[in-house]
Amino acid sequence: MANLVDEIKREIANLKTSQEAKNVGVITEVYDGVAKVDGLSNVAFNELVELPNNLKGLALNLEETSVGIVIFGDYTLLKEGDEVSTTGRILQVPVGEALPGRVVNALGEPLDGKGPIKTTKMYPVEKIAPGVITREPVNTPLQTGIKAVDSMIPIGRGQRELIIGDRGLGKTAITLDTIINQKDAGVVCIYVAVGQKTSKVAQIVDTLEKNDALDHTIVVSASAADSAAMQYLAPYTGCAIGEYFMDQGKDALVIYDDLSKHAWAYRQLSLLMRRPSGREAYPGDVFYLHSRLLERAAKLNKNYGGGSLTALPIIETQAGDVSAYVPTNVISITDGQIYLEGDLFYAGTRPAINVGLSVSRVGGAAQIKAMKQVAGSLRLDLAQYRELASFAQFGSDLDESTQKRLERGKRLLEILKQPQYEPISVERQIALIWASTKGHLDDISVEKISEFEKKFLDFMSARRSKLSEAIMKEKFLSDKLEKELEEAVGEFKKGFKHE
Amino acid sequence: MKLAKKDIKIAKYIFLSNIADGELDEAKISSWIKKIKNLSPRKSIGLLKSLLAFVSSFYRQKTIFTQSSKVIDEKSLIKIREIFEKRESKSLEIEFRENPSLVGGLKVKLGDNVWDYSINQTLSAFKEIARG
Repeated sequence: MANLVDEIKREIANLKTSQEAKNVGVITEVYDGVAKVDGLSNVAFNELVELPNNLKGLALNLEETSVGIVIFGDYTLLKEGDEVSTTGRILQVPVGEALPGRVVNALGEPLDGKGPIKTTKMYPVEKIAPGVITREPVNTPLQTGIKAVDSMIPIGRGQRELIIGDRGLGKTAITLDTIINQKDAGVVCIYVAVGQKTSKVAQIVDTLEKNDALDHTIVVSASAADSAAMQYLAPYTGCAIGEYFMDQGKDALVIYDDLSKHAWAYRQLSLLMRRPSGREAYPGDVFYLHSRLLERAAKLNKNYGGGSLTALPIIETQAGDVSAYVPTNVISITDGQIYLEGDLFYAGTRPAINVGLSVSRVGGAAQIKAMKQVAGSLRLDLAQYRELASFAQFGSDLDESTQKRLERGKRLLEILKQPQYEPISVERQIALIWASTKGHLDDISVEKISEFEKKFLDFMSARRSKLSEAIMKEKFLSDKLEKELEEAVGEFKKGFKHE
Repeated sequence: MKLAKKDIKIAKYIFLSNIADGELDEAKISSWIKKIKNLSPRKSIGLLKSLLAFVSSFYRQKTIFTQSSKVIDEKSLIKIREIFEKRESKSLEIEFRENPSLVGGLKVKLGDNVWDYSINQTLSAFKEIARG
């Protein structure tokens, strides 16, 4: 007992109760989530400041005679004359193993009613991206489970792949499929909702839960009801959480849904702070806003743990205008883009990915060889189909080879269609794409392709599981494996045609 | 109202040109204020506000604001002033205000820096620790 008393006495003696000077200022103006402060002469840019009523703020504007701060929380509790003090640190959020399965706000505080987050580890929200020495090229695939993506627009771990398209074309659906597909892949997923409807966030959490994907996912939510400051902060919070897992040598995936709304939030803050506005009223540093965030996605080399942070930013375009300010910025920052098109969506092609305009600049290096083998001819066949299809609509008399190519193309497009929340493993994708590019589907009517696909995949799981395992093991389609695939497709087709 | 960069620049010039040996020439500043007042209100308001910001900041740096829950005797105030004058290497003025909300102890403010040795602050720190 004496020890305990001594320990408490020691702790009290060691407590620093304001022995050092605090740098303070006084609020002169407060409006719309921002405040002007006189004083704070020692405050640093992006430093966390403390306000009355347990509110926190961030010093964003350092001027000669005043400081502009953004307030996290209810700014109506503040008034002119309130004291603001510096903290000497930048904003930090809780990180750690306790976070997967949780829904948090931009400050890392729980929103899901599952109690406090039990972690002592904190990470700064703003951090310099990993340098050249610590990185290595993207070399490991991140399987999305989506045929069109994994075959033609492959994503590697540590890559930044933009998902771009108008509203309601399935951008979020692609990311959710990707999260669901990481179930047993050991990838921790972070979904950052910026400026979304709260009902949509609730729906996403529900979908993840139903598909057993919430256990490896953290949802960071700054909904439309939250302040612009929270929406501005949320992607950095998600990135900091992901960086923790990367630093632990693990693989993490962070989805920013979406960066258009993030730019809007930053524009709002900048205009309120009376910063000079530029194109589309965005401030001059809107490029840096996104480049410093996306640069933090990296694949670390083995000396630094070998972890990775993959980023899937989303940009919502207005009427397909990819030449707007923010879309062009983010396109130039990322390592490729998945372009979703309205025409394809309404024609029933889902996911509505325009494979001609979509590209992955570094993912090819991460793709497994077997997929490369089958995807090469898929891309070529589809390109030929597109060219011929646009040409063929003007004429009726087509030679046999053109007819064949058109028919093959139709089937390939059909095979790339995929229902939502049903990701397919890579070996099954390889088998399916192999069958379609080798012409095994040419004698099956287009209407029956989806039925063929479903039954063929069932057949492969039930009767040829060893073949799938061999593809995954060898990661290369040898002559022997191709022969086995041919046999499997032949055997299945006999049964399928008789039905 | 946002102060124009031009106003801040002129006010800074006026302010700095009227400081000699760390002391502000109040008479000269007053004459400048009269001159500025002769300008149109649109032009003068920004300038005066900028000048006010510099002058108030100067006085904040020159004055020690002391608070305690009970009145402190003159001798102790002089001692506090001497400590800070030694620390800052310049002559300072001291002001005292009784503030019962501090419960006990002392709170000293010089410029933008605050040294809070009050019981109220200690209790707040304990409260923060208890909350985790």
